[in-house]
Amino acid sequence: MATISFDKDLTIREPEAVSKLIEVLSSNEVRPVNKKLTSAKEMERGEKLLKQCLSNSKSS
Amino acid sequence: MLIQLEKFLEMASEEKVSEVISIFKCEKDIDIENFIKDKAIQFEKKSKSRTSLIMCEEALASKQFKVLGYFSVAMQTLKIPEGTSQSQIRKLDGLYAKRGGDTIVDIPAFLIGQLGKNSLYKDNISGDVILEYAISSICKAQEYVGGRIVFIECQDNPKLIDFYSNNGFKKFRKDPNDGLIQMIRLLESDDKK
Repeated sequence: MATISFDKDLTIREPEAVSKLIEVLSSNEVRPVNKKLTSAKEMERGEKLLKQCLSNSKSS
Repeated sequence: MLIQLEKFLEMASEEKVSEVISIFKCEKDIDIENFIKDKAIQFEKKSKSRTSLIMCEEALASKQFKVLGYFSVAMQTLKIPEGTSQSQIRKLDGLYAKRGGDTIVDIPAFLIGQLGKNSLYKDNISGDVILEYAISSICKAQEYVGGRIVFIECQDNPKLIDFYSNNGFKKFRKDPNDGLIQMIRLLESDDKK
């Protein structure tokens, strides 16, 4: 990970990198994702707990 | 338990949020620690990225803040070099080689710009779980705006490359300017379901 990634120019100059990118994008290798981790219900539960926690914190 | 930094800032003072994230330590990569401490709030306010904190649920329930890990996502574009054939551009875009009559020169990607765990609680969460949270968040954004790619850059370290490879990322390039390894993961689209 690198903070620089947020702002850098991501030009893919090498033809072999373009080919590799196409290879990945053309594949069917898609991993399943656990969408429940960020479901509305789960996010709401987190906010509720955070709110309760903050209500006991003097400097919030 | 996932807490969006944006929500945290709505519910608490900036001082309180800074206090909570100030205890974040990352022994393996100081950039990860510095980002959360010095840049995350600023980036959040300018909507430059969205940071989410993974907090210990049990600690929250007992009125304590324990940030186990975090990730920051943003939009980026991968620029296609001049000379790329129309058929290659079509494959990169997924549909077209031209946009508004002009050749497409970039493709959008969801960037995971930062992702790390708190060294203070390193046994309480795995990197795999943090990444799963990040991908799940990105999928939520994808439901509204579309998009096919998750992009990351990491140090040229076999352990890191293995970590991302084991989580579905494919290495496609090493940036010759800074030596960072660039990898992508394909997101589920309706025709791949």
